[in-house]
Amino acid sequence: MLRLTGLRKTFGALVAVDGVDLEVAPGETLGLLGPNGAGKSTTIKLALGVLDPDAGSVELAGLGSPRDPDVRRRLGYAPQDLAIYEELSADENLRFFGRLQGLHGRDLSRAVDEALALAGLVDRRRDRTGTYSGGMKRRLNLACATLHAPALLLLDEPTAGVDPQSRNHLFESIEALAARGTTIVYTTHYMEEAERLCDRVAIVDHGRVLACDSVDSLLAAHGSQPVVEVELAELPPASAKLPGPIEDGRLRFGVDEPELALAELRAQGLRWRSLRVQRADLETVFLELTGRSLRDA
Amino acid sequence: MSTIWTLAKKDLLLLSRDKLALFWMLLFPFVFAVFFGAIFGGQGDGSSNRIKVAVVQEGLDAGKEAFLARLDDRPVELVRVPRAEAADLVRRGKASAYLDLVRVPADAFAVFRGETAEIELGIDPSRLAERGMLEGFLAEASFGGLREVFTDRAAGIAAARKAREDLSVGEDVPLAQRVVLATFFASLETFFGAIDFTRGDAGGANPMAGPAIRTVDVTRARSGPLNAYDVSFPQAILWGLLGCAAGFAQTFVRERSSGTLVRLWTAPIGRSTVLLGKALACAIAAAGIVVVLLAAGALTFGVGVSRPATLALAIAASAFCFGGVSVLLSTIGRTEQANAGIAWGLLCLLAMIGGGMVPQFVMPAWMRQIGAVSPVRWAIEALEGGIWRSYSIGEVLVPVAALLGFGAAGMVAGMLRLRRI
Ligand SMILES: Nc1ncnc2c1ncn2[C@@H]1O[C@H](COP(=O)(O)OP(=O)(O)O)[C@@H](O)[C@H]1O
Ligand SMILES: [Mg+2]
Repeated sequence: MLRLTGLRKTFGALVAVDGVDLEVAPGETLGLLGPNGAGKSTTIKLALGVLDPDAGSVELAGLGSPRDPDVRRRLGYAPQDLAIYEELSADENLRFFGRLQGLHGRDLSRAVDEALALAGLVDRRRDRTGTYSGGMKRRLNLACATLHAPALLLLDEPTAGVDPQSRNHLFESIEALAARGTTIVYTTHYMEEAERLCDRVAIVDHGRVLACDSVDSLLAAHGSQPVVEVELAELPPASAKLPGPIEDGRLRFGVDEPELALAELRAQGLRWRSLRVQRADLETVFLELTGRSLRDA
Repeated sequence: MSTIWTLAKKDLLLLSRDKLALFWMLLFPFVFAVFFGAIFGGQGDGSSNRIKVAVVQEGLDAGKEAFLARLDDRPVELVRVPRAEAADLVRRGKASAYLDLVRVPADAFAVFRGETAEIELGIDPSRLAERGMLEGFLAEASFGGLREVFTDRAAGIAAARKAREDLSVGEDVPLAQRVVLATFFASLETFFGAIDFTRGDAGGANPMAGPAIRTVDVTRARSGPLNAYDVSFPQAILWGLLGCAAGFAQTFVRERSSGTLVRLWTAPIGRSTVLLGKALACAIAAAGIVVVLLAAGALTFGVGVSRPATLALAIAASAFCFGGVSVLLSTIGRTEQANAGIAWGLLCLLAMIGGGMVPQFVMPAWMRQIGAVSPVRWAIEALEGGIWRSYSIGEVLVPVAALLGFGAAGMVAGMLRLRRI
């Protein structure tokens, strides 16, 4: 459906996207997981043709170039920064964007009603969106991207800054769209979202795709070990052999058998205030691939 | 086309909810018009108070020159021109009137011989105030100080008697002359008593009533503004149009900063379509501004429409022009602040040289020529053409063409700039 080959984009000296190769199959939901500044949004904009790549190519299999308006009609895009008119109501926003997508008359009205229902905004449809909560705006931002039933949907951090309730609502909407067969590219810096929604996840950092596979395969390949995090009560003895680096008084390491490792540390004379054992997840995958935590990156 | 309309409609809807923009586009111009109308109103129409009069130079003899000299202390500026050019000057508004002194008696006392001045005064029939003033000046000049005396019979008799009495007590007039004058004044007294000149029963025309002024109607192509608001409203409308162009440029930059522009770029429409939508919305708003402000001017200060068809054309061309200008302004500056600053700076400059602040007719000639590079100048002329200059469609074509040119240039330049951004 979408193939990105050797994509590269620089802003001055900064390399935002550094040779990205990705392929999205029809009907699949692909996640781009990476910290802020990883180059996710830039990749999406390159895929959409909003930005021109310095190198590489974008292919929309079976569709054509995104420069062609008829191809764009089959794309949906929910930008990371809310892109709705705050002085207009949800109704007016949806009608406007629907018309731009070529919807008219009864088709338009039906699409708007469906989109409002999907976004849970039927009651507030005539209110100016400037009066909406962050979560409602996000839901409308998504609805504006989906009301023309696009074949390929690009969602850039669609849950940024929303309350848990709205987040759940958004998840359900996206799952419904995926169930309808929509191909989705979903960027996020929350691993829980990627784990819940995505068939495959691309781990992105510094403009590169470090790994791309199903969540299970990623865990198997890069995150098989649980991670132990120990908050030290005092500096360890100089003689101690540590299994990982100490940062901010915390010792972090991945290990197959946490109990044994901890017993060994205690035997070496280490004392800790608290300890946490984390099962393998995309966070650990990211840690293993980059040496950094997704949260801290 | 329907997409352009969809885009324009959205912008007009946004505008209708933007109180600040509406203030700059409607209320501010209205206040401007009232304020400057009141100021100009205090000094006539703001132009020089001297009435410019073309005098036919053929056949000007000493008597006629003396006649003209008597107009000197009046607020009249005389220019001597060949007979062939006189009427044309009036027609083109270069002179308020022309004078042809067909016959002017050699001396003031010629009236006693039944001789009166015969003067052709060419003036636009609608310029009643100037006409009345000029006729008064001409009458004054033709009789000099005698006029008052001869039009008031009782005063005439009294004056003649007083002159005779003064003469009898005066010592410095030689005796021989004193006798002649005494006889003259006595007969003058009798003369006044016997004949009432002011009733005109001395046979036909009353020579005392004034010179025979034959008025020739010369319909002036550019008649003067009827009141100061005729001048201040077109200016104010231009401020509304500038506010409109700047406001729509702002909305474009706001689309960029608020992210909606990316949505427009990814919609199945061309980038130029997006700009055309902006231009259309701006043009519609601009036309609306002209109509609303003119209606307000008409209702409150009697601002009129002398040529509806010309005005309609002027409004359409101005709307197109500022729609195009807004497209160019849209591409200036990345932030709303930068855009507003640069756009308003540019527009104020255009307004200043184009007569949007100080009317062009009080500017020196060189400054008026520079004004030609400002669409403001052409829009004002075109609108005035329909409001009080009474331009025919043919006459308004030059400003209209200039406006269309500016509009098209703005649109093309804006699209080219956008392609580079
Ligand atoms: N228009 C731009 N001009 C300059 N730098 C940019 C621009 N867009 C993004 N960047 C930079 O490129 C890098 C990647 O940004 P982005 O793609 O937005 O990352 P992400 O979406 O993963 O947070 C960041 O360092 C960002 O500051
Ligand atoms: Mg981003």
